Amino acid sequence: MQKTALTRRTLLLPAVVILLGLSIFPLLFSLALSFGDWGLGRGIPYEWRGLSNYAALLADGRYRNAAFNTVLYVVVTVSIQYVLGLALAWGLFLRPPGGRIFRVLFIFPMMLAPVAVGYMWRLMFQSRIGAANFFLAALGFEPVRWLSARWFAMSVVMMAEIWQWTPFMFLFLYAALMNVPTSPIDAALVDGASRFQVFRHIVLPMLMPISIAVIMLRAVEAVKILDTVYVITHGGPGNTTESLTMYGYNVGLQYFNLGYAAAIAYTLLLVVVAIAIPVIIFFKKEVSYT
Amino acid sequence: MIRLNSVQRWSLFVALVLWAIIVIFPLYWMVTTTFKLRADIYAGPALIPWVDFVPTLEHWARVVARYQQVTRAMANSAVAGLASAAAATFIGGMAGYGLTRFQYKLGFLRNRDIAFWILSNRVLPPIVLVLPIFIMFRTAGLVDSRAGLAIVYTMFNLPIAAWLMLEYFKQIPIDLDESAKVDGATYMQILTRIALPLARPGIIATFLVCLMFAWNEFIYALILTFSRAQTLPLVVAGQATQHGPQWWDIAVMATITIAPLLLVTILLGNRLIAGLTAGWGQ
Repeated sequence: MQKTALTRRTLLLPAVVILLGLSIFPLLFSLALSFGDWGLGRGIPYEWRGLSNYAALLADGRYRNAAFNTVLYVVVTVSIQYVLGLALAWGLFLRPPGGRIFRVLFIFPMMLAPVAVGYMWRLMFQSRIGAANFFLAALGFEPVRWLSARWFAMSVVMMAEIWQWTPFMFLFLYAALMNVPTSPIDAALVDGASRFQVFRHIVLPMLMPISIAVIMLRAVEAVKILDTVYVITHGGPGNTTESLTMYGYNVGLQYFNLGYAAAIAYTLLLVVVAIAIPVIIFFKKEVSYT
Repeated sequence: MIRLNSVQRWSLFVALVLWAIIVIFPLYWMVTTTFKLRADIYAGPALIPWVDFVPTLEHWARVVARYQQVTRAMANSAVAGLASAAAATFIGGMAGYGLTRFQYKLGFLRNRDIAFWILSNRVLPPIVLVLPIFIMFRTAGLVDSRAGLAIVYTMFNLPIAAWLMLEYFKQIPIDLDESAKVDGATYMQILTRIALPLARPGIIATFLVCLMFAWNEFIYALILTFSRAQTLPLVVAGQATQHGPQWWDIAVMATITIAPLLLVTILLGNRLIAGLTAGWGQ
């Protein structure tokens, strides 16, 4: 029996050690940093500052702008991803010709490096050599300097995000659709319900828990947005399209103000936790263990 | 089952083809850019090779010959990716196996609390963790090293790996273990003769998922490497923000970055889908 106990502990030990050392310890370290000041590289030792970093955030216009942008990126991209993903999943559920090929094709974007995806879209919207302006020219419009104007630049970032992550919504909604029991659908059809009625009153309610889960999962990831912004706009023009992660990166590793960067990061963490807790509770209810 | 008449079937097909074009076009635009002469790139929307433009390997040859950092970045991405995916799958597999076969009690935490604690590490924003990790790595001499990256990627992939492996091991009936035990098999034999062979598709899927995340990862590499250990996404991002106008060269680098995953998706598409959605929506 003693040998069993040893095996049991050995199985879990490496995972616990790694996560404690590289995840939980840095998490607490960051918390301590956010309450202080540490000029790394300038030879200034750690100094406790209480809540002064957080107080400074309230008055920081660049922070407010980054927070606003981040919320906008999340709300716009995740909602559009959901609607498109659901439409594609429903489309494939109706068994069109070539369904298997579409299914693989549709998941391509989510497999690719976000940095490369960002570059792809930057290339499309480049003002002199981008496909977008060539097509505008063909239709008789003036070329647009997409990345030099805040709202155009943000739309390009959003398009890249929607393109990359609609597949995620599609994939998991489609998998859920394939597990929906068919008998209520068949019964409704026999009773003369239209396809739209079946979708609206039977399928959609059954997909509700899954829908909430995928939306929250995407939102938790989208809040951390960095790669596409970094490559497409680099936060510009000025700092107008910057996200919270990008601002935290700039403060921490460009200006080496670790305390302030940690405070920015911690406000982001609070948002993530607020979104994630409902998801975790949801999953906890769904999963049963031996 | 909902049935469509042929008009409906084909209009649905056309709608899906439209989305397929949206999926393919940005990829196509970038990949064809790598084969166009500069004059063709500036001339207009050249779409079809040998019709709109004459393909050239000029940019590919230059990138391979001139940018040593690209080949080094490929090696860095491959080494950090493979090592961390193997480590995360192994360590996550151990945890997943343990959590489905034994009862644990860490303080007030039971099996499912431990599983959720492991998974919840995945939602932490990297920007929160990476500043302290940078300081820790500076002290340990791991900044700008492949080993450092591999260690961070193992941590970063561990929650997903443990979660997926747990889902796979859960599907292997515990009765098989029991009957083997009755026949006198040791725990080690049960693991190597029963659990591992049955979980093989799951192990492969988990490894691929971890490899994909590590290969595509950006923020940890951005902060923890600066020259020797730079990965492919970092080279692409660095070139794109420093040397804006060299579109063709950067397009080559970005194409190199996405090529392996495009290939894997084409070859293993349906199996990858099954792996990603394991245990989903039942």
